[in-house]
Amino acid sequence: MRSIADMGGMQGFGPVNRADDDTRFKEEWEAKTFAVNLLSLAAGCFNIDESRYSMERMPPVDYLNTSYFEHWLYSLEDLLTTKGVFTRQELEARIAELVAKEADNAA
Amino acid sequence: MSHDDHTLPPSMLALRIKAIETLMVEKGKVDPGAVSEIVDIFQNKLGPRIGAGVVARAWSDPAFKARLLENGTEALKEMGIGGLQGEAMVILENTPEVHNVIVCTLCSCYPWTVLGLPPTWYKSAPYRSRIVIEPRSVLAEFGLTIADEREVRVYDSNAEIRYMVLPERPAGTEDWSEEKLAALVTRDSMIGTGVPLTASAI
Repeated sequence: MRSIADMGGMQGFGPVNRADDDTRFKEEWEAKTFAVNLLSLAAGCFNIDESRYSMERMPPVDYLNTSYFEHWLYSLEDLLTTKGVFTRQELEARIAELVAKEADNAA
Repeated sequence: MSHDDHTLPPSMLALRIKAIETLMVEKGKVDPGAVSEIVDIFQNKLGPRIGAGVVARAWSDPAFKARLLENGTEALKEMGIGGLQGEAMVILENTPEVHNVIVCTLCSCYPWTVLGLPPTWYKSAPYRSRIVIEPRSVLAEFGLTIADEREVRVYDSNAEIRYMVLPERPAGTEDWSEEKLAALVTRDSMIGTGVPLTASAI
């Protein structure tokens, strides 16, 4: 099956936006997502082929509607949970804790 | 009023990666502090000046250039440049007959160790989709017209093999030092979407 990520030769995406020449992370979460990915690879939690394959299995509509580093975040969540580094429940619980903490801080 | 008054709650994306990061630290998979270290390396230490130094040496030292083209990974090690994930480096030499350009159609594989992080357009759908079917048109949009009789070769990078273009040495730079030569080497000339500056540019 040809995945949405297999973009070589596809048509209709329009001209290359050369002005978008920035190489720096635009947001802190992007930088962290990138770094945690590399560190997870280094720790042997998954390998680079699994990482790319995970991104390629992202639902196509989501893939096109999300930014580049969201693809990375998606695959990171997917692999770390399916590989059993932590469970999806642990992850959701931790996110809920952080949301609650943020709400407290804002109050 | 404190300067925190207008701080908006971080986005859900920020919270999701923070959740992962803290879990990974707790599980002993990631050292505290390692994340900011990696970000610092990529944001501040790696970048196209490293690749420009490699190109300048290849222009100045024919024996090094031969080794670089023969086995990029090994020759780069001589300059203290090593793969982050053990990926192989292949150096593509531009000649009067051939112009090379690199892409990663599947994602964003890029020669990090010599160029740092890729520009946003390199990771974009238009570049990834079009450079492999209409490279001359895309290069023309970058202001680079390749003569019809000159072959254009597009190399699709992957996780294991990363490419870097060795551009042609500009005319009129025969007695230049490596340092001065390196100043002519642009990032895009090592991607293949540009050429080095001319001797008169500096």
